[in-house]
Amino acid sequence: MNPRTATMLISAALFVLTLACAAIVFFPYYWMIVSSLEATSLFEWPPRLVPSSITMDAYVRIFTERDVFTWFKNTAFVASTTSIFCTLVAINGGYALSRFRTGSTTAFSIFILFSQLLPATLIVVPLYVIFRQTGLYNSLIGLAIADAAFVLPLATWLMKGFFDRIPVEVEEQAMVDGCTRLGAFYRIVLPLALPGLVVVVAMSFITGWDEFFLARTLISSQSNWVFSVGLTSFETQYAIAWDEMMAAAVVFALPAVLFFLFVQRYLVSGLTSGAVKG
Amino acid sequence: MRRVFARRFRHLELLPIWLLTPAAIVMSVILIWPIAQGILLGFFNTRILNYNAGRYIGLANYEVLLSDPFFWNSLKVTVYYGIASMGCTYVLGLSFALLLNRSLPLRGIVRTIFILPWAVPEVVAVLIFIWMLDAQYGVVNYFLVEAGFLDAPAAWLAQADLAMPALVLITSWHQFPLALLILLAGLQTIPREEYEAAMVDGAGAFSRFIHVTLPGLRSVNVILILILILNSFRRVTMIYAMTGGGPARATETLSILTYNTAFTYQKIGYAAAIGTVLLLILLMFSLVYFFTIIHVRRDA
Repeated sequence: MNPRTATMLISAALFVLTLACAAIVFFPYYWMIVSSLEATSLFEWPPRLVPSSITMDAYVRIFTERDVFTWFKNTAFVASTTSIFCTLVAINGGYALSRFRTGSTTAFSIFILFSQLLPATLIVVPLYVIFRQTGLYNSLIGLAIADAAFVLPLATWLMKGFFDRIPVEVEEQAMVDGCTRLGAFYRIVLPLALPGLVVVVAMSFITGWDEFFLARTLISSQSNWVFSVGLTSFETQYAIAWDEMMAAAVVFALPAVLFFLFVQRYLVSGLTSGAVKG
Repeated sequence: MRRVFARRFRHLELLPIWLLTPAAIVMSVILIWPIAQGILLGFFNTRILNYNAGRYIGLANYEVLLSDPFFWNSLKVTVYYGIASMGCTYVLGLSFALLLNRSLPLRGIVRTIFILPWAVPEVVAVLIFIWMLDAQYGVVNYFLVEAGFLDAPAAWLAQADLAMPALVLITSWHQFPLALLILLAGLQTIPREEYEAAMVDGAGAFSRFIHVTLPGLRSVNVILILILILNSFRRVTMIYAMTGGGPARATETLSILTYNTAFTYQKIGYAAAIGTVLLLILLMFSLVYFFTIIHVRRDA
């Protein structure tokens, strides 16, 4: 066998190996979708790897018999509020970190790093008490504020990275033309940073959408449940309706996955550039 | 003229403070203030129902903690979980990064499939795996029995010695894309010439991996390993949704113990003391980690 055939064989083998790994990685997704569509009982042994026949019944049932609409509405509200609030705050903070080197910005950068060490459980215990005392407990607005605060350090840091890529000369030129510093920022720099802005909006939206732990702790009444909390309520009943649960999981995961795929390239470059420069 | 300059100077100094104020307020109220309260609560015997009746008891919570077997169990579980999930996540991430770091047909699609697990909400990942690991109808048991690894289906989440491996499996499935992406970005910074030089010297694939790839990933590894360990020490949602710390406290990390002590046993003061110890561990670990790294680098 000559070396060229050998190289080609190795490449082919590695390609097959890659596809096999991809199949294993994808399997839980496949199983979720198949289980939600399976027409006959899921409680059979051995499990059917390919469904014998397919039905949308479970999807119809979760929308008619469960509170999925309420959960969806609450989650959408919390995620959008988190996203808008977090982005508005992160834009300003990120710009300050990108353009100024003063005591306040250094202190803030150190705090952002430090915040990555804080255990969420230690925060949540007093936060629960504070929320009870201030009336933010069991309110979707309160939950959104808490979610936004938890994403804020990362969002600010990402925003700083996106502003860093825009040359300072852009603002200097605008200021020569008569803009104030703030005017140059909002009217000239911000539109240029639009792709980065979209990433921060999406990232904070996804975090607000997915969030479970704060919602579980800070929300009490069933009418205020978000999707992640509602989803786990299938579990506590006597027999778990796995087809309904998987159907609800698909409905819940879909927006998050789509948003993620939409921004992944930018999000990844923002997240990894810091680590790789090291 | 001078006044104009002075004004402009002051204006420039104040602007970053104004811009940072909203972020500083939000983070102080939701992150800093509770952390300070939490540390303080650790010195009180507060219970959740009569919050205002809590009394200052000095270091009593910490004394109880030192002789509390559940605390020591949690510490052990936390270290086990941290190292095991970091190791598995890293190995998966590195293996897949090496597979993807070559010219492949359909590279874009394959790469997307590999990062999909990260996109799914943690709660959904947990529910899929609870279903796949089901003792009676779970597909994982089916594969393991068919392949001859198991004689009979196992109750993964009900057995103390199997719950942690199951948790590590879920964690690494959900988290490896982060490692994969960071390592892939790291691999792409290694100059092609170094591989070519190694090949000229007659190094095989394994030797190139040891002498070129691993040293080239060094600075990326430093950050990635720290991120993975800190994340697993702080992880709540996944463990809480999956086992709540059980069975028989086999998956009760310090994070979960803090939460359960506060909300199941209603002892917030004691919970705050446990949480404060966790915070100290995270701080100490990061400091020691960085000092060791800097030290090793200087020696090298």
